[in-house]
Amino acid sequence: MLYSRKDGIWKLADFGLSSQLSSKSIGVTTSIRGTSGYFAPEFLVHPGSMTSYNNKVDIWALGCILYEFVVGERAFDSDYFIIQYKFCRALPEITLDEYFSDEDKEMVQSAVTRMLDIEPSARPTAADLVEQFSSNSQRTMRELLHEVQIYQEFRALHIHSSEPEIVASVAIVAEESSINVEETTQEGQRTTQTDREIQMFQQQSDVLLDAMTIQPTRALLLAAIEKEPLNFWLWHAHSTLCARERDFRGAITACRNAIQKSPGNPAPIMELTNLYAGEAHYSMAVRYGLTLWKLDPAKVQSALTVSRNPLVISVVDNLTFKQASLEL
Amino acid sequence: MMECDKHLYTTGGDPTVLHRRLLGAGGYGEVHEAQDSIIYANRQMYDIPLCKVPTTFRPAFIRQSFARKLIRIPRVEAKVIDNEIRVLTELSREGIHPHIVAVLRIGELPNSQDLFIDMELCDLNLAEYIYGSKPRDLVPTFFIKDQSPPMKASQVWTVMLQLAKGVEYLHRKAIIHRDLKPANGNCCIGLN
Repeated sequence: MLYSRKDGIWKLADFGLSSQLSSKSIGVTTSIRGTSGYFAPEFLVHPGSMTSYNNKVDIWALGCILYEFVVGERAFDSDYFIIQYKFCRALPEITLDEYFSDEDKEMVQSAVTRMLDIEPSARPTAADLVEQFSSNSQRTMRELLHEVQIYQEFRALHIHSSEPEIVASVAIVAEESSINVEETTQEGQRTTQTDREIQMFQQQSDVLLDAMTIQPTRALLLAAIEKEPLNFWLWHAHSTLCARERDFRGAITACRNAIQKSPGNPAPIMELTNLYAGEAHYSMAVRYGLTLWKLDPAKVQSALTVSRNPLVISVVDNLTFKQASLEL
Repeated sequence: MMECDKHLYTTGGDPTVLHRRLLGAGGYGEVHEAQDSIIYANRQMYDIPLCKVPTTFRPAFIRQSFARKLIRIPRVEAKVIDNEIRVLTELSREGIHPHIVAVLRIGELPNSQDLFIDMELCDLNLAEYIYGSKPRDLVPTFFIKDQSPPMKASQVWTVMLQLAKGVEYLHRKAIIHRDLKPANGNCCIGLN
């Protein structure tokens, strides 16, 4: 099972163990070679003695692969589990996460059950599988296209659920609007124009100095998040770091835990929307984006406009860092 | 196996080919990413007498990398090799199927009994795709599962469709693969 990026398709390889037999004829083998865990049970009956098999052993292996693909774990860790399955007929449970629709879950379940049938003749033929998989893949592709459309409409409606690409531009806006917020809320302590400029310059230089010395880690960011959980930029920095370590799940679980802990906090929801959109799980992005819409808009605005932590600057792809140095 | 350069070394006693790096090894021998060397890029005088099996497929892309599987003869039974070569010739006789790895040539190395099978080079195998390009045996399963990006249903069905097409073709040709698995540790280049 190899993937060629040039052609963009998957290919079968390694014919070291293959044999030429038709579906009618039955092969007989005395020795078993190959990878443990992907053998059909008819291979494994009486160790040492002659066993017979036909081309349905490939269907069994494909069933194992489908299982491993959707679950993320091997169907059978060793031949022992295959024999156990043969006698008690209890298929390892298929628990699929929410990325699969109910229809897909059903399809996977039925396909795996049929492909991993103990009786070789009850397994579907490869032609059956091609037919079934092609209808499934066409359907899911259509669904995906539909999701993308919905997501684009959604984005057009709710621009504030910010995308990673527009983070840099939003950051500048946020910087400006945070000053405006200060202006309006603290009317009693209005500062003069020059005072404010000096203050800003000091703030920025502090931020730059800090950003140059602090080496951001996930633990550090999580501690910062603990302190100010309403700061969207901290969440965004955290998932940027996670993405750098290719730990997509880690970023998602962190956001989810935070959402469970404090359902009214818009910052992790926004970041979760971003994450799902970045990984092209558009239906999930829309789902979380809509929950965001139900929250208090002032709170959402404040999550974007809170003063930025120096840690954030050093992390968010140095974009804001460059911006700040340019301003200086 | 003598290493001439960090990235470029010759092995296997075949002067016409440069081995760029080791892709995998197993009981049969090993698989290298290889390239025809410039001097021998025109392999006409060299290739024909070596070929054990008439290959229908000539290397059209000279100087492009390919995967060379070296089969060390004393380690592998002759019966098994004959079998693999018979299946591969059977498959290449019909032309190239999109879901079967194309074999470029099969031959014998000059000064030994060892055989080589040159195949098209692929980028990654399914196990790397599922588990995020980390070898499964090195990391416990529960760890990998958290690391790997979640699969989308459309991804799963598309890949499975292609695999099923490959298997369907094999079965139509009356060939049983018998060793289907995500990590056919044959030739693969990681994403990084």
